[in-house]
Amino acid sequence: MKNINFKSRMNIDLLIYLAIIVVSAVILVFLDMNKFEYNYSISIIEKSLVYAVVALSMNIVTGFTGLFSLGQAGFMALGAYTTAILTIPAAARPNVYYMNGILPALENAVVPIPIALILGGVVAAAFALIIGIPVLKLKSDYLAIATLGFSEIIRAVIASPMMDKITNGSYGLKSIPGFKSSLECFAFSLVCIILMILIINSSTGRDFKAVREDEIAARSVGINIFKTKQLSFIVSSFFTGVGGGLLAMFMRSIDSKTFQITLTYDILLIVVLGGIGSITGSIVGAFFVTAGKEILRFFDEPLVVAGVEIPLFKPGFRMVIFSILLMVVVLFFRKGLLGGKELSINGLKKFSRKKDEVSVGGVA
Amino acid sequence: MTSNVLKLTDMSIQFGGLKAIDSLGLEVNKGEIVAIIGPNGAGKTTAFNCITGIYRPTSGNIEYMGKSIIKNDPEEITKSGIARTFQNIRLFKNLSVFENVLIAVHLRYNDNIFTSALRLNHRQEKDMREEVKRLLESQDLYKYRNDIASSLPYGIQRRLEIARALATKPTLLLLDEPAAGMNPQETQELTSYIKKIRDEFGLTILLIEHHMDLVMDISERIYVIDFGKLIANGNPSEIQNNPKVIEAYLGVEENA
Amino acid sequence: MFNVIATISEVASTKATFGFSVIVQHALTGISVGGCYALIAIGYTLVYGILRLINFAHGDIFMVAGYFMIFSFAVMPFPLAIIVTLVATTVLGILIEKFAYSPLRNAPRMSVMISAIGVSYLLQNLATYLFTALPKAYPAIPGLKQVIKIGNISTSLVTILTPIITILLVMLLLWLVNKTKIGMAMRAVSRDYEAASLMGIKLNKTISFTFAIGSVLAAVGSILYFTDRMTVFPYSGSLPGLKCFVAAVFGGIGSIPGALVGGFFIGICETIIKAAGLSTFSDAFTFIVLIVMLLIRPTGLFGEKNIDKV
Repeated sequence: MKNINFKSRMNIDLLIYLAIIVVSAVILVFLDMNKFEYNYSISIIEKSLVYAVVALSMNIVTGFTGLFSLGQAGFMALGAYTTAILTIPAAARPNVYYMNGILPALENAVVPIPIALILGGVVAAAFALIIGIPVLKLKSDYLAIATLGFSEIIRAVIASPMMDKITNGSYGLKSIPGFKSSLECFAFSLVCIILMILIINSSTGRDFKAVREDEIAARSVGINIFKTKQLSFIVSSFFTGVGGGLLAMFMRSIDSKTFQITLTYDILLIVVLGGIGSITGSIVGAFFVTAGKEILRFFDEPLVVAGVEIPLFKPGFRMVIFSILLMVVVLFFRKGLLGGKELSINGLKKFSRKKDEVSVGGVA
Repeated sequence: MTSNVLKLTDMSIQFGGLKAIDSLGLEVNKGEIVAIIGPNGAGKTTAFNCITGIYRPTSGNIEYMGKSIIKNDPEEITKSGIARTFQNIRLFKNLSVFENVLIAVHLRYNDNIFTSALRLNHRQEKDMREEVKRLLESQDLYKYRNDIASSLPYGIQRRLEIARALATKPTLLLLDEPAAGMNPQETQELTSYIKKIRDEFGLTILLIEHHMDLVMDISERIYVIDFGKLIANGNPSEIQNNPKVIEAYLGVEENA
Repeated sequence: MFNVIATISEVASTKATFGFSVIVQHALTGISVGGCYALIAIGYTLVYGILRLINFAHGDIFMVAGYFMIFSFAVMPFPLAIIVTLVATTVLGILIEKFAYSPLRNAPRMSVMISAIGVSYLLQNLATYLFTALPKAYPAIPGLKQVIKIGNISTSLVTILTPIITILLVMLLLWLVNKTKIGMAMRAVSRDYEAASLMGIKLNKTISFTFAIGSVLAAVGSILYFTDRMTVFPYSGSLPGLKCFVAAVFGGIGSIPGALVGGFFIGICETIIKAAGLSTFSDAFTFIVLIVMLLIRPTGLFGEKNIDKV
């Protein structure tokens, strides 16, 4: 009886999520049809979607497995470059590689976009596999700095003259085919996000959480913590790589400077604001931060009220606001805006009921 | 051949200059309840950590079901059938009671990330959940299933930890001070509870305990360790009258 | 004005023959950069020793010290400006600890690390906001940029002075840590945080003091470093900061002599790599050092237990 209740409750949630997806898709179709009018909104939405993918992938490893990895930018770079190299139209290539030429093998290596994105993820995952062997044995803070280091090494290699014929060195890549419509971006991101949610809520995801909670206890119930950490790191890097590919498609041109440490920090900002270990937090956080940065753009413009220039408003102000917001969340709302919980209809219902009822009940 | 479940021979472990355990020998037979007692810092928990693979002994051997497990990792040892609880309760604190136990049944099911993520294992998942439900019901924990582990009262946390260990379907169960922090009434209940799970799950139990009432009541044999060395073993009445044991617990007269 | 860095980059780009004077010149530059790195690395090592925290903001404190100097130099004579810079940086370090780290004393380590990253992010963005992202000229402290010629080798006074100042400061610090009461408190706290506080050591005071020392050394490093580089911009602390952390790990985190050796090692290696025309890899090299070190000897060169740890 209780089971039936449990099931129907899940179904209601599922239906609501489906409804949200459908409504979003309809809105996007509408925006796409009026592209010229809503160009700006479309670009914010696309960017938010891409960041949601990357933030959630960071959350898998940081929030759900408890490994503080700061290698995001590096894995994004791998995915972005792989995707770009495999999708720039062959005709455009001589133009892109005008300085140093292109490796003959790559001249005509063009694959469909979904395959390029997956390969981008695979390349990132393969690197994670190799890097993970030494790095995942390190303690938390060393892990952070070592992954950050790897990210910088990857960036240096991409920009190095030896890679000229593949990555175009410091010139970067351009003419990357963008999203045909915001719906396409939505579809790719949605697939990634759904897959990640499925993983987090699977038995594999439970193992991740067990490792996060207590490594010794996890081993005592038969979990191989190294393999679990490795798996989490690889999965996370795969989706970070795909996210990097999506970013390349969004930006249409990339170079090694795109993938500096600040990019990792930007994603960390989303994860922390949304709540470490919260799926919906990462998604909402991505939209909140990306849209927020755009909406607050007027903070960076000089503001004149009644002929008097308000002194605070000048370039860089909105980033200061975001930094302060980050510090406030870190210091006073340690669990992020969503407090490690998930937004769900169920949760909202619980929220509205009295607390003691919830703990005794469970049959809702 | 006796029916040894666990056999330690000459096992020693050294940390830097300190010999925490000095050639310890110990045997546990099938179906027995055996206790390890000794003053604080005698090396009892260290012995548990060696048996479960958290520490690697410096020398000597540990055999489980006739096979040496000295080179095995903790997770392999758990898989082979040794489960344990911890002195200072190690639950997955921020996960629910149900999840705590569910994670412990994973090891008996063949899952990989693809089957689990794409829900190709839904039948297995259903079996797992069903099994956890039965176990929780039998341990009288089902009503707490949705509660976060760290929010439970201390006594329930202890029981949850035992339930989690049981979920791995062990042959040998190691209990590290299961009665710590319990009042006499609760200790009494725990005593019958341990006997009950031994019979119900066909377990062999090795436990560390300070509550002498419980130890004397429950154990068939007792090992006494002091300063890493075995100073006595035998059945409860033998141990109670052993002068060495009395000395270790009460101190030698001239030192006192 | 004659600039050593300019000559060296010229040398590097033309891959000139490695004559004796060129080698000496590289060595001098390397040692000089290394000295600055060592001064910053000590800040990491001290803080990590006490709080087990990678103070991601330390590199940015170093950067802000650069701006302090620029602005104080504009309005007062240079000796006074130096003092103001040192004091202001120290205060900044202490304030950061008070506001961003001390409330998280009992929080998980990840939270404190994120807070440190947050402070770094804040300082960088604040600097961009207040001083724009464009590089600002660093004042020339009279005498420091003076060219010294010994035979074929020409270098500036600051290049020679940096390692000397570094070593003197390290000696002073070692005396402080080993011989004074507050130094003893620092060592006690780094050994065992809880036991130290039970023994009546004032934790907060000791931690503040540690941050003060780290910051003042970063300020000295900043003056020497930027005098040589001649410009400051909001991100000029982030990469040197990470490098200096690597230097601290290399030498053995918690060890002051280790930080010194690590700083010199990273500085010299980096100069050699740049001189060999591999500038793109000079930053990556640092991280390779880090990863290799963590794999073969996670405790670093001097990071053994019996070594004087702080």
